[in-house]
Amino acid sequence: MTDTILKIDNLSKGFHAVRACENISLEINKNEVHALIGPNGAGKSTLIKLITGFLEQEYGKIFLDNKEISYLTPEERAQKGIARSFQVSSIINNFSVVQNIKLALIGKNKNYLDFLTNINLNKKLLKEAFYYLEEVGLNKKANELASSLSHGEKRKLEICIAISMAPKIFLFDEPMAGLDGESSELILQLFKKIKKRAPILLIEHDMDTVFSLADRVSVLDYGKVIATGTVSEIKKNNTVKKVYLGTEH
Amino acid sequence: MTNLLNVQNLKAWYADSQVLYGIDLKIESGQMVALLGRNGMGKSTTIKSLCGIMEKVEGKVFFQGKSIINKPSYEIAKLGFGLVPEGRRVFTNLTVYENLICSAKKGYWSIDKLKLVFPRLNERLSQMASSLSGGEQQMLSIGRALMTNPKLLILDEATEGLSPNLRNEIWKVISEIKKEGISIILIDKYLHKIKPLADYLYILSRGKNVWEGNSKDLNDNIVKKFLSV
Repeated sequence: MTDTILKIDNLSKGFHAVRACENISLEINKNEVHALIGPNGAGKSTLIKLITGFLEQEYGKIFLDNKEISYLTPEERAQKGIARSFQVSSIINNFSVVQNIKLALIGKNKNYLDFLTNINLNKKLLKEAFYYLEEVGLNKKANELASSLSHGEKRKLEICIAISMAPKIFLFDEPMAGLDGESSELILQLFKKIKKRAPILLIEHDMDTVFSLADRVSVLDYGKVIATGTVSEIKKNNTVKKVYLGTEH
Repeated sequence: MTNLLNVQNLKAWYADSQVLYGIDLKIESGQMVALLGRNGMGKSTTIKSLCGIMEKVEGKVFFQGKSIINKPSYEIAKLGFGLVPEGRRVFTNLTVYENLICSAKKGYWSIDKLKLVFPRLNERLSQMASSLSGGEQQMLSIGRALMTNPKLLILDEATEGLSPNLRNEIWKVISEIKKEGISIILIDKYLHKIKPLADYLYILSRGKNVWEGNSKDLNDNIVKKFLSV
């Protein structure tokens, strides 16, 4: 029995002359926050798209819970337990907050789709949606339009959608972008809580967040992993300092 | 110093919902002014209102003595506003080069000067902007605004999504722009970077001015009350 939930083996992808990901191998283990950092354009978001099936690799393999998922569609991968958030918020703005969660739950559990019953009257679905909304502190905003939420609340809703999928792994792409200190702290505490359920692969440029959350950090540069280690190992790495961190950290 | 921008009692609405309740701001030529506040307090809406992007605004806005309230955004841009908007908003169906030159004006900033600040953009000049990573699009957004050689540069979360190294480069560029005498309005969450650079700071809360002063006056109590957790 292995603790590895997500295994990326020798994954590669290019766009014309640009090698976005080159022979990337990573393992994300149970209960860990694994941060993926690197300069802009290093291939981080491309890697997330490869893992989630939005892009197809040229070669290499992806395993979730020891089962290969390399050629599954994004929907099939989501069903198998990969939940993600996006750099730019991707909630449905003209749905209410609770409707956004309900939609995710229906996607997860097809049993909720019963064409003879009005989905809005399904009490079990509503109860489950509220369970997750309470977890992120959005239950009081349940019936408000998602478009009316503040930026921080929209981020929380995205995370709530990911949590409601009860995934095997969370992939969060710059979840702290545009958040003030207060909202960042709330999301940080939320991540500390949910990593016990499923590991988190976190792309983030806010180093305060990365250094306080990550159990391990991998650094990408020009599509290649140039270092993997604990926070203290990465902070001391001179190459990482040169290409990414600079002298402040 | 001469007054560049004078904003009095600025109010704005999203449909029927009022979000600004009388903002007052002043920027002198060559001055850097920071707008601070938690998420959703009206900073970006203030910027949009100044740039003619909001549909419904009231109040008085004078740029170099001329009223610009309710003028269309393209006229305001022609007067010398350079905006780096929240969320990049580059022209994704143009190349990097086309993005940079489409609104360029002659002045201190040129393609050659930009290449030194953003070597990554130089590598990507012929690529479509849609193919850039998020951070690269952010660089392009900053570059496009600089290429207009503006009288007033507005940076709304310009360092968002950038690596620590590049963020530091951007702060150096901002400091360089300031030395040139270009006026700047800055919104950013990195207060420790803003404080040494800003000549004057405004804090907004729920669509109103709640504090203003210089960096020395911005003490921990004020930060705690209006900005931090």
